[in-house]
Amino acid sequence: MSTQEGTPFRLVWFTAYGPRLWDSPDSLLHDWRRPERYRETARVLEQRGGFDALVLADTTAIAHGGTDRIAPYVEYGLEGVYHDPMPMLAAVAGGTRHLGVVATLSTELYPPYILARALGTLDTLSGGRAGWNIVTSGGAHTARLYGRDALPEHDDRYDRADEFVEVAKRLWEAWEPDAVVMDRETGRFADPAKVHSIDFEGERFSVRGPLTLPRSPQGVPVICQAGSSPRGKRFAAEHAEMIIVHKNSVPLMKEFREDVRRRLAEAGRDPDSCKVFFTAHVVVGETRAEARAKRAALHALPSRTDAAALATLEARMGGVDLTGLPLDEAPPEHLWEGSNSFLGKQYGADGARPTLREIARREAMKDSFVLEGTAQDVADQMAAAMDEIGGDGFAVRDALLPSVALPIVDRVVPILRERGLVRTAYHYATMRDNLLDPHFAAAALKDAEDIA
Amino acid sequence: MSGKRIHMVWFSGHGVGPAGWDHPGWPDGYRWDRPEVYVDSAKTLERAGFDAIIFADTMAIPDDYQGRMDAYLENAIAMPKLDPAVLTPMIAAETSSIGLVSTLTTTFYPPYLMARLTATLDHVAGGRSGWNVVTAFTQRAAQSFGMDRLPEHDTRYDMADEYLEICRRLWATWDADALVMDRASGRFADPAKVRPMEFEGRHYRAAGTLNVVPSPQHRPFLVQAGSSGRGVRFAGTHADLVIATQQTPAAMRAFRDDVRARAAEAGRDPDSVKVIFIVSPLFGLTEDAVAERRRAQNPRRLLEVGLAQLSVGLGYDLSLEDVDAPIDVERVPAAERLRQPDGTMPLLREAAERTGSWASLPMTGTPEQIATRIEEVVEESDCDGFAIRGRWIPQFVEDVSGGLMSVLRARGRVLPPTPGRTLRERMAMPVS
Repeated sequence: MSTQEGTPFRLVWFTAYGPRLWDSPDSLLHDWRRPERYRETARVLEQRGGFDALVLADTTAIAHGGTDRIAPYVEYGLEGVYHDPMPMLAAVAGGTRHLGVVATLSTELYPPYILARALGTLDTLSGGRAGWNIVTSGGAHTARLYGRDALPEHDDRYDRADEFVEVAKRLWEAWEPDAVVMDRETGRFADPAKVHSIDFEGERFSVRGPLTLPRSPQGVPVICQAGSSPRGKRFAAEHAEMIIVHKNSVPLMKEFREDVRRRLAEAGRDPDSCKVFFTAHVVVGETRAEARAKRAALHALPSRTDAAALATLEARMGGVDLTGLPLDEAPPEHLWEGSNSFLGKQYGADGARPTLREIARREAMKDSFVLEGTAQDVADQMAAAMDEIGGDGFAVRDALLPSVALPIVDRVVPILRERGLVRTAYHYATMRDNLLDPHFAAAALKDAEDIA
Repeated sequence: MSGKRIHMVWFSGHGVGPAGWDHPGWPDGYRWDRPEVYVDSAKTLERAGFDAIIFADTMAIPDDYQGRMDAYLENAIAMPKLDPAVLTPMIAAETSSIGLVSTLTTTFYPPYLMARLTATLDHVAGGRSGWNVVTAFTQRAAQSFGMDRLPEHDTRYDMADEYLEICRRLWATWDADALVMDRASGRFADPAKVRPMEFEGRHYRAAGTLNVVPSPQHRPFLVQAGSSGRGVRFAGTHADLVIATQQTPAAMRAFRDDVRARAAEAGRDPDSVKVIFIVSPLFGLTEDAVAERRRAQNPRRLLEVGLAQLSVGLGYDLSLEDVDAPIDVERVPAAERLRQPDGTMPLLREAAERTGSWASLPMTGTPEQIATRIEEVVEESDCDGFAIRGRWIPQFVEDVSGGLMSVLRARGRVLPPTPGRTLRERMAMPVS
């Protein structure tokens, strides 16, 4: 029996189907292209970790950086060398029973009917565990892959996304919940009066419907979102049930979450109906020195060259050319300016100006927000941060390797469980019901079978 | 008796759906909407020596019969269907030898999305993934994609040719040996072996580099099922495997010769394309007994189901026709393929009640008798094998796997499981 000491929070794992950490020693045992280690590690997240979901990020095109070259990304296996998340999430769903599976799919690049059908199928076959991380896509390189000269401007993309989500929801709800009869006596499968065409005619989409499949267990998959622009936040306030966002510090996290909750209330929604997950890079050691050494070893992997780090940063900054800039000085001042400046927002708090090398290395390791130390340290840091932020959860952002996941699941989670702060059981069948379950933590372990 | 290898494929002609859900072979109900039934059956089929499972698919609930979806919804005809590209990875993760082929339509998927999806499926299935290339054929499906009408049949194939060309070029943006993954140097891939493609056609254009590394087959295994003249040319150009329906060994031979000639015209080795035919074997009297029971219970329903099903196949509303007259090919030209070997057209009622097995070679008997018949037909037609129209009913899976396939295995005609081989490699292996 656990007692609650602090603000309970949820955990999800956030990665992509790609080669991240392909040259770490642990990867010798696992071919990142194959589904085995994703399935095995996902089972650990579920059975021993009580994680809510595995979220796979995605980008449709290999990054081109600031010099319009894909070479560094190909050479080191960096940004954009990602496989389609759907087949991998299907394989993971087939090997788990409670874990949510959240796919990043773009409203700009999918026809709504295909997206709705694929996610409806994933939700059906997983027994109600599918989620959709909604992204819009931009960029000339992505456009050209799709035979287009350009993709719409940012705000237009969100207008399209609004209409897309409306179409998708209507497709998911075109079969009434009790349309399937399956009466063996009469041989009747479904009641035609309860299956409807949607006949959607919008500004951008014309979709007749219905889907070829009955309503799935969740009806609508869990809607996830990651945008942090004003238009993206408005979109999230209207649609999102979970948000995954990166912030470099706890005060920025707290501010972001309060803003989201205010916007939800303004949109007439219960602020608790959307959970905000902050990404974190977690490094656990037997001792603090060992944790530090582990992190240093990752930074020292052969693929982590300055060129690779710089290319990663260029991609994150949306294709700014950083070549030729001195590595041991702060990037020039104009790159820190502007309300939407990546550097200004993520690294410029209180006028700070880290060197280009330091920023690039941290971006390359995705460890701009790090929880590091012994299991006790990490648990304490998580709990303290969550007390400050006010709640919801963390998204562990790293390769889904056993060597990364096991120390978190088997050493950090038990400490947090002891304090009643994280999930001990899945009380419901669907991802949404578990995600929104207010009694997810600190509850007695009623059904050992659920978690064992 | 021994002879050439016979390729055996399980053809889930109803796609991923509940066909047969009210069959007495499902005493405890049938969870067609869960992966277990497919995964468990696939393991059985794999052990039995099947080369692949093909999942058919369509993108709309039909409304051909009476212009409404009602008969289809009531009777679970040609629907519901789940997305096969989501099910096949679940099966792949629990099998090691059998090929898994998803039907995906070129008409509605953007080409880049398709090239990326099919390459990823091949990774997840360890080189056992196939793509059954189809063009959509129903207006209702088109109307869910912002089109008023589908392009004409031959135009769809012209478009599909361009589409395949884009996919091939995207798969080829990475050389097969581009991936280095050298741990000592930290070098992941050789950028000199990764090049953008560019294509500008009449119907499609695309430019850039696929963001999926080369999959085990590099080019996913391609299956094709069209049997029109234009479809055969398309198959000869692109397909690794062609599945078709013909009623006699002579017609099978002619069709296979045609495909092989088209492949040669396209500069390919004719042996690199296998041609197999769909059959619906009936084991003993079990199936007849079921049909008999249904007829006794509700003869009108049996006829209606048949008419609704046939209306989809022919793309024509048969509720407008006289069921007791021979089918009028003037009004229903697509019915030409139902013409009987004696040259006459069947009565509509007969054709409707035979639905499911029409237009294919009948095969009935014990597993030994059917195996012998299969060997005879291979001898007479020189075909490369058969696609068993498969239903997921446990007894049927058992009759085929434990019965028919065991006999063919014992006679040295089918290959045992070949873990570690890609689907394309397996299809090229001899029995020995």
